[in-house]
Amino acid sequence: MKGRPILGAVSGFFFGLFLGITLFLVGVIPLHSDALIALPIIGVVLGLVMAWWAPFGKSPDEPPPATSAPPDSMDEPGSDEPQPDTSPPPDSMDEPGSAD
Amino acid sequence: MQRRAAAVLLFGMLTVLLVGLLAIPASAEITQGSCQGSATFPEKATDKVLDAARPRSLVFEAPTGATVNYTGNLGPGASASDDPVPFVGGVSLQLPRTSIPIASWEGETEEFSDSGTYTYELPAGIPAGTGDIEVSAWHNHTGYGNCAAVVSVSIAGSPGVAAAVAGGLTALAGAGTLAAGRKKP
Repeated sequence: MKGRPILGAVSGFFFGLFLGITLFLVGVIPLHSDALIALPIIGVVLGLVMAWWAPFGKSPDEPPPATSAPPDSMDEPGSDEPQPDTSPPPDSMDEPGSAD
Repeated sequence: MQRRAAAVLLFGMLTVLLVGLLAIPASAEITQGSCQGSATFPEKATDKVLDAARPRSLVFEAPTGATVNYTGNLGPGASASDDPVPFVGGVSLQLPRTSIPIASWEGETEEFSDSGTYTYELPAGIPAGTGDIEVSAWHNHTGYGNCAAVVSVSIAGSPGVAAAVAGGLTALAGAGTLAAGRKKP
């Protein structure tokens, strides 16, 4: 599955449960209706289908968008500022020809 | 193409299930025996009498509190017996696939009928303005058969805060269900 099946099953169950309670409270379905049992089951199925379908978000195997600019450090602002010298100091003792 | 097929399949499944489940058949209300009974709500402006023979599809709107005049008998022509006869009965609230008892009675009597007044006040926590609530009652008079009846009632008023809270929780859980459709990183 591409989505989140556990989140889908749990939240789908409560979605169906609360939907049934809401429909009863506003007078749409009677208290003895089998819909109060069926809606949580349908909610679990709906959540699992959503996790399997996963219509939202970016797929991990999709290539990055072509509109992104290629990295170019030479054009970055502030690149002409002097950078601290992190190279090791020259060691004259190791220079060729300096040995006695 | 695969997404469209899944959406059509899901929508079709939900439609078929909901249409089948929301259709509640109407049927007779005295389901057993030939007993008679009624309750009169004198404080109501209209539709004052809740009769046991009332069609189940015709929902009776009950106030949250009232003094009710009731009468009932075991059947046409039923008269008192010479000796006390044991009886037992009760009232149940119908839930999906089950029921819960909310009142019961038992004892011995020589009478085959009863009448009087009963005052009730529903607790404040019970939501009003809801869908139909089906209540079934039964009575067994030993040696004279059983009696059972079903009535549909609703409580007068507005669901108010309870419906708002339930609607909010539905939206929250619905958002969680949609979030399950987000691809894993």
